[in-house]
Amino acid sequence: MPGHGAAYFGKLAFGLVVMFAILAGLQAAPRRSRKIIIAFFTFLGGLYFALEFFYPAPSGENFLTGYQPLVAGLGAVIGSFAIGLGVFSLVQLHLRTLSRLRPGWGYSIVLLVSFVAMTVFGLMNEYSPNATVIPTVGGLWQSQNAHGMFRFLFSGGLSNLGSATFSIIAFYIASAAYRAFRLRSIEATLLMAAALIVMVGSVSFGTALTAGIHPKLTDGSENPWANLRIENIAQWLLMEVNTPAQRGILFGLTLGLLATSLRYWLSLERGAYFDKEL
Amino acid sequence: MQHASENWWVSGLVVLLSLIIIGKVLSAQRGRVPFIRRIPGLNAIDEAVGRATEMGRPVMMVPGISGLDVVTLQALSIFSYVARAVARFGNKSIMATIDPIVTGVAEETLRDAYADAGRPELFEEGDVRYLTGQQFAFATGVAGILIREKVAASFLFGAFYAESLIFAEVGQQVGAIQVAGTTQTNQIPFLIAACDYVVIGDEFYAASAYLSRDPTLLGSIVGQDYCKLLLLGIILIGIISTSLLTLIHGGPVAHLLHTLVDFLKVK
Amino acid sequence: MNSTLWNRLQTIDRRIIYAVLLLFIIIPLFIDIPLPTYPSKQSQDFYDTLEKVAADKGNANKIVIVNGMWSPSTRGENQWQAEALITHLMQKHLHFATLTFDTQNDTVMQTSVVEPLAKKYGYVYGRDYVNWGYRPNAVYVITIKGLVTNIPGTIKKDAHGTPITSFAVMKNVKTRSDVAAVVDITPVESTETWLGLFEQNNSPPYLFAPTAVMAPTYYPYLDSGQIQGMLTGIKGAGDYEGLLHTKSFGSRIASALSLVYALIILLVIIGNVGHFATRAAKRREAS
Repeated sequence: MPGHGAAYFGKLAFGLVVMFAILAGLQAAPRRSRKIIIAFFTFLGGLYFALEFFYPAPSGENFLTGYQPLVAGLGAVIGSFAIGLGVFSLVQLHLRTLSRLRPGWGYSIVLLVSFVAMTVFGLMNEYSPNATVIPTVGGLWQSQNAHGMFRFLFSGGLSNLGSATFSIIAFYIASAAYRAFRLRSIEATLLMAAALIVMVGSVSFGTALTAGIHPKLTDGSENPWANLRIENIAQWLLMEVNTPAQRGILFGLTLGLLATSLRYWLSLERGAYFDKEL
Repeated sequence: MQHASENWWVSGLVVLLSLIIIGKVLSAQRGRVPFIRRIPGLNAIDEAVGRATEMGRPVMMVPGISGLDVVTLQALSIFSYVARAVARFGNKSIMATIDPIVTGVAEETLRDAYADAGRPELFEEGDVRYLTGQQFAFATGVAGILIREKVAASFLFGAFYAESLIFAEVGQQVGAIQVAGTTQTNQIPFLIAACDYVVIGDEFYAASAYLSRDPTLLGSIVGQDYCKLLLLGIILIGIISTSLLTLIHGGPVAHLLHTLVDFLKVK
Repeated sequence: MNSTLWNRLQTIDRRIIYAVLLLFIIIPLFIDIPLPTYPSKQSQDFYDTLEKVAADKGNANKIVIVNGMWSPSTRGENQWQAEALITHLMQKHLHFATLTFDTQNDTVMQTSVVEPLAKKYGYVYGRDYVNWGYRPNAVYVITIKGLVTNIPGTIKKDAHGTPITSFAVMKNVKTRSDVAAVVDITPVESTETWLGLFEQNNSPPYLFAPTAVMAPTYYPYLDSGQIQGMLTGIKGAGDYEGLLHTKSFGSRIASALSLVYALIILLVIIGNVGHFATRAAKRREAS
C-alpha cells in the first residue's frame, strides 16, 4: 500500500500470526474449556456495550466511550478474516465443480473469470490506474487503462446487473398479486379491498378519481366529505389500521430481539455453535 | 438516547424486562417448563422435507441477507432442525449464504445436525455455499440454484429485504413447498403471496423454542410474554391518564395525572 | 368451453403478464402522459420541514446530514429522491454533508447527483457542502453515536482524505446541536439507529426516504412524530419534484407507476372473475 513501510507490513504479519495462533489454540483446546473460553469472550464483548450505556455520562461521554473506535476496529478485523474464508470457500467450490465437470460447470467458469477480472482490475485501479491494459488495435478499438476497465466492470456490469435484478421484483409483484389475490374468504376480501384502496390512493390516476371533492367549502371551512377522497381513505388505512398492527409486531419483535440477545450474551442458549445440540 | 443517564426511566424499564426474561429462563431450566401454542408453519417442515425426498429433489435453506447477528443465529437454529429432518429422510440440503462469517457457522450447524441424526456421511462440503456479499447478486445466485437443482422445498428464515420476492417467486415457479419467516415486517406481504406457510412477527423468535422444546428457549418465550403484559399495562395507564385529563381540569387529581403522563413520555 | 375460458382467466401465463407490464412501464417513459400529481401528506411534510429548516436563520451555519444507504441497485427509487433532495437543499442555500455506509453509494451519489447539481446551482465543495465519504457498515452504530458529541473527531477526514476541520462549511459544526436536519435515503433498515442514538426530543428533524416496500413499516414513527416527513419510493420523489417545480424522471415514472398499478388492479379483477365463474360452473355441474 502506498505510504506504508516495512513496519506496517511487519505489524500486519504479526497480527496474522497471533490470530492463527489463537485459532489453533482454540481448536486444540478440549471441548469443555473451549465452551468456557467462548462464553467468557462473548460476555466480555457484550459487557463493554452494556457498561458504556449504563455508566453515567453527564457530558455525553464516559470513560468507556473513547474506546468505541477500538472496539469497532476489532469487529472489522474479525470481519476481514471471514471475508478471506468466504472467498476461499467460494473459489474452492467452483474449482471442484469445474474439475469434476458437474452439471452447471459453465457457470463456474463465468464466476471464476469474473472473480479474477474484478480482483485484478480493482487492485490495478487502486495502485496503477493509468496502466494500459488493452492496447490500441488498428481501427478496431482504442487503448484502455486499468481505471477504465474497472469502471466498465463496476458501473457497466455490476451496477447495472444489480439494478436489473431489483427491477425484476416489479414483474414478480404483478404475477404474485394476480395469483394470490383471490376472494376466498372474508379476510381475503378485506385484505384485497385495503390493498386496492392504498394502491389507488397513492397514484395520480387514483387521486384524480375523487379530485372533484374539494377539501374546503365555499366559506373556507373544512369539507367533511373530503374524508371520502381516495387518498384520505388510503391515508386513514395506513395510519389508523396499519400503524397499530405494525406497532404490535414491533413490540413483539423487539422483545424477541432483547430475549435472544440476552440468551446469547449470557450463554444461556443451547445449539450447534454452543457445543450442545438443540 | 446515547446513555442510560439521559433517561433512567426507560433504561430501568429495559433492565426490568431483561430481569423478567432471565428469571423465566432460569426457572424453566430448573424444571418449570411452560407450554407454548403450536405454530402451523413449523409443522409443515417435516411434510415439506418428506415431499422433497419422495420427489428425489433437494431442500434449500436461506438464512437471510444480514451478517452474523441475533436474527441470523435464530434462523440457523431453525435450520438445524430442518437439517436433521433432511438427514433422517436421507435427502440432500443446500444452504446459500451472503456473509462469510455466517458460512462457517452454517457449515458447523449442518454438519452437527447431520451427525446428530446419525447420518454424518450425507453432509458434503458444497452444501453450504457462500455466493457473494452483494444483495441482488445473491438473489440471482439463489434463484439460479432453485432452478438448476429443481429444489422441492425451500425454507427462508432470517432478515430479508427487497430480494425476498425473488426467492419466493422463483421457488413458487419451480413448484417448491415454501416455508418462510422474517423479522422484516415489510416483506411479510410478499412472502404470504408466494409461500405456503409464513411465520409472522415474534413467532420467528419462538420458532426454535417450539421446534426444540428446549426449556431455556421456552422460558424465554414466556418471559417475553410477561414483558408484553407489563408494556400493555404501561400503555393502558398512559391511555387512561391522557383520556381522563381531557375531562378533569385542575385540582390534585389532574396534577397527579399530568405528572404521570410526563413521567411516561419518552424524552 | 366456457369453463375453459374462465379457467384461462385464472391461469394467464406469467410471460404474458411480464410482457404487458413491460409495455406499461416503457410507454410513459417515451410518451408524456399528463396525469395530475397530488403530493401525499408525508411528501408534503418532508418538503415543509426542510422549508422551515431553511427559513430558520439560526441554521445558516449548521449542516444537513444526508445519509445514503443505497447502492445503484435501488437507484430507480433512491437516486431520484436524492436528486430532488439535493436540489431543494441547493435552492434554499442549506449547507450539507453526505455520508454513506454502502460501498457503492459514494460513487453514484457524487457523480450522478451531487456534482452535476453543484455545477448547476454554483455550490462549491468545502464552502457549501462536503462529502464525509464511506464508512464500513460494521462501524455504522458507533459512527452515529460518535456524531452526537464529536463530529470532527468521528469523521476526521472527508472522502478524499482531507481533514474536515479545514473546510469552511465545517467551521461551526462540532456536535449534534450544529446539525440542522438528518435525511436518510435508504433501502435497508437504518432508521432505528438514528432515532435511538442520535435524535433527542425529535431534534434535529429526521426525514426519511425509503424504497416503497419499506414505507408501511415506518408509519408508527410518523405517527409518533419521530420521523417528520417521508418520501415513499419513486412516488415520493415525483411528489417532491412537483413541490419543487423541477419535473424530472421521478415525475415521468410516476405516470408509469399509475399505469402499472392500474394493470395490477385489472389483473386481480380478471383473476377473480375467472375464480368465481369457475366456482359457479363447478357448482352447476355438481347439481
